Amino acid sequence: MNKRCPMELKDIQENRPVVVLLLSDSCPDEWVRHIGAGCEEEGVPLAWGRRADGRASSLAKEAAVLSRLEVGIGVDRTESAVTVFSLSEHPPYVTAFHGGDPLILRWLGHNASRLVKREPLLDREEFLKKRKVPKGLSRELQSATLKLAKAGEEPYEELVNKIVAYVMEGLGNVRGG
Amino acid sequence: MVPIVAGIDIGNSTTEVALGKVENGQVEFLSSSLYQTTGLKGTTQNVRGVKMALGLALEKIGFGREDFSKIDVICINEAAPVIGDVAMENISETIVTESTMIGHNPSTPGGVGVGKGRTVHINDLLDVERGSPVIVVIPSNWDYEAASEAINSAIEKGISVEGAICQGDDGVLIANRISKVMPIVDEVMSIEKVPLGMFACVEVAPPGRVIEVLSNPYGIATIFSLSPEETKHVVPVARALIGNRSAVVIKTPTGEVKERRIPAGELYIDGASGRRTVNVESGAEAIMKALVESQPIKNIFGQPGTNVGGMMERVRRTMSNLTGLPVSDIHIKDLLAVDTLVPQKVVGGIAGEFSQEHGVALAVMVETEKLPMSQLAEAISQETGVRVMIGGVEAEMAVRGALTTPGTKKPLAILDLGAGSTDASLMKENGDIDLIHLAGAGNMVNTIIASELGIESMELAESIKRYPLCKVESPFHIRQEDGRVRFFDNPLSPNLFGKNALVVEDDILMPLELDIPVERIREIRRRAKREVFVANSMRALERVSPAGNVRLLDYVVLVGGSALDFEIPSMITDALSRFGVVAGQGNIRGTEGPRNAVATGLVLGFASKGLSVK
Repeated sequence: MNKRCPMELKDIQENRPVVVLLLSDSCPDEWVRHIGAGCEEEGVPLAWGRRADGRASSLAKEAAVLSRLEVGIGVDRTESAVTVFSLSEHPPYVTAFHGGDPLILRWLGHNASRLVKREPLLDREEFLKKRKVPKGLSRELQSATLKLAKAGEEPYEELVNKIVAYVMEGLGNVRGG
Repeated sequence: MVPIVAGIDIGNSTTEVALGKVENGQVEFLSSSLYQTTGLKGTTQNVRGVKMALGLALEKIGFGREDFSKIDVICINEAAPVIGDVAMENISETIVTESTMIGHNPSTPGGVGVGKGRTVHINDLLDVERGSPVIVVIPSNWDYEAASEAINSAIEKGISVEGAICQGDDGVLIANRISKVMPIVDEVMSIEKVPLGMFACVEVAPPGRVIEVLSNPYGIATIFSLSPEETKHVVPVARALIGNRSAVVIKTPTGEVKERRIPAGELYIDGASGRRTVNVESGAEAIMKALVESQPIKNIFGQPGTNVGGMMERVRRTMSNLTGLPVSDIHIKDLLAVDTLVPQKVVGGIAGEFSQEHGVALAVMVETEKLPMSQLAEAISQETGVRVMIGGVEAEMAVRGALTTPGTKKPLAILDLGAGSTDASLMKENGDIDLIHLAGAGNMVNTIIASELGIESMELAESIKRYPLCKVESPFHIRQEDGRVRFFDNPLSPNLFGKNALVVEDDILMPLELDIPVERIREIRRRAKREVFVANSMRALERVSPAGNVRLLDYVVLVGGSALDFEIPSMITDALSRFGVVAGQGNIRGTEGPRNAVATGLVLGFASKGLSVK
């Protein structure tokens, strides 16, 4: 069995200890890869399946029931949730709007695995901060700083426009993912 | 109407009140209260705290908070001003030059084994000549799939890739996708500091085990073919990597890892036989030995321009401001030194490494004869409309109050475990009192805990001192430090999960963001309490006991804030029981625990003197 690809739920033996991920049909396969990377890096196996529809929190609860490790991840088009079997009557333990961001999906995989391993959960903002800003963007910001250094010579409005433009450019690079 | 007398003890941090009806030398106690001391003890700033405390005590017996007229006389203690302070000196540091070592111990390294080769950037990997071993350096803008493909292509081409150093948390992901087993160290924050083109060794141990080659100076010598002289120089590297699951060592032409003793300055102890000089960096044992040899101490100074020197001047200045005495008349009479291990950031580290460095915690204390209390007495009298008397020596009042603990009798010694100083008084059979103040108390315990855990917040250190620990093992249960498990009806907050926490109250858990096992935090906490309070209890009692022999004391009562601690009293009971001494937390009037000794003693003192209220 290939320990690296998240396995499909229908392919695994009944008693295999795995974290289970359930996605609603509208979600692309790509998202499974990102969540799977988080689980794989933490060393915890993941199996995934689809449901026609459903909100992230109810998908997560169903997944936790299916999971021998008692941890379930639920993902719909906009929201995601991670929960444990013992919390079936309570709100999911971790929830997030993911917006398709590969980093947030990866973070979900890490935290689902850490619930299994009884390790403290990773704070989302810190996780994103550590992993964002690819080298390309750094170079852009560097040249922006040089240009802004001459800003004293420019009229205020133009300077503000420049700053806004650089920031938007930077954000655009990160989203592109 | 039977007169009501209030005894008020204004301490460094709390102001305590005892209210009692006094008739024919007998006292019927009515209520007690406490409030935090406002301002510096012994100044008119204390009045506000006094009024608050009095108000609380009055309220408990059905009067209004401002009903001061119900009180006939107020007795305040003759404060013995003692000011203590603490400083922490680091006496060693580890410096890595030219990025020679990576030892941050990430939680999920990839692969396993020992790999050696020249460091090469993954951008240039495919240009390497066949057969020459390399360690590939991967910044986080390389996706793990792409990096794995590049490594596999290189291996296919016959390039000897022996290990990897990775910026992102991708060690396992890459290891699972490459065709060869090799060690991968990840989460290297400042990957741009890894020198390229240098000979390096990467080691990752199997899960549950630690590295064996790079934590051994001879292992490093073997890998890098070092001479015996050079091997001596790598001892600090090996030492810093002991216990790690993964590590990297890089040989740069001038790079090295140095352990330096930091000159922390000198202490000058003026004693009976003249001045003794001792270096702070020689450690606590040497310092305390010099102190003992200099008894009785006249004064202590620290080298000007040092941390310790500055602390001592601060303490002198505070006392000078308080008493109006010139700084030159203020004498530091005692000092307590405790060795500590302090986690310090390694200077020049690539991945935010920490190493355990040596430190010395130093507490000092100054005292003067008496504080002029008349100004404060006047002010209290003005604001409350009640006659105020200054009730006598604090130590005597404290012992009187302590004697209301069931099971005690004279001669009785009390240990007052405060925040700034540890005090001992002995009341002999005939009523005479011997008294001593020592440096090192609650604040020093906090300082040691803060330094050894690497935390900056003193409030957090105080909480760790006061509350027992637990580990949150599931959304519904915690495992307490005594091993017992506790369940909760409602799920615990996700930000507690998997963390160590303090059990503040039954239902209140405070998460600790410290990546240190519960057992280690517990050990640090208990050791700090032992090295300060048990040591000082022995030191103090030796000074006041007959012929310096603690065995000749029968009864010792613990009072003061730190006598309320959940483990300090039993540590002292245990230590003193070996000397046949009955020692334990006081229980003033059988109801107040270790609190209210002086306030109670003031009322008793007034009653016994048969003084008239008018």
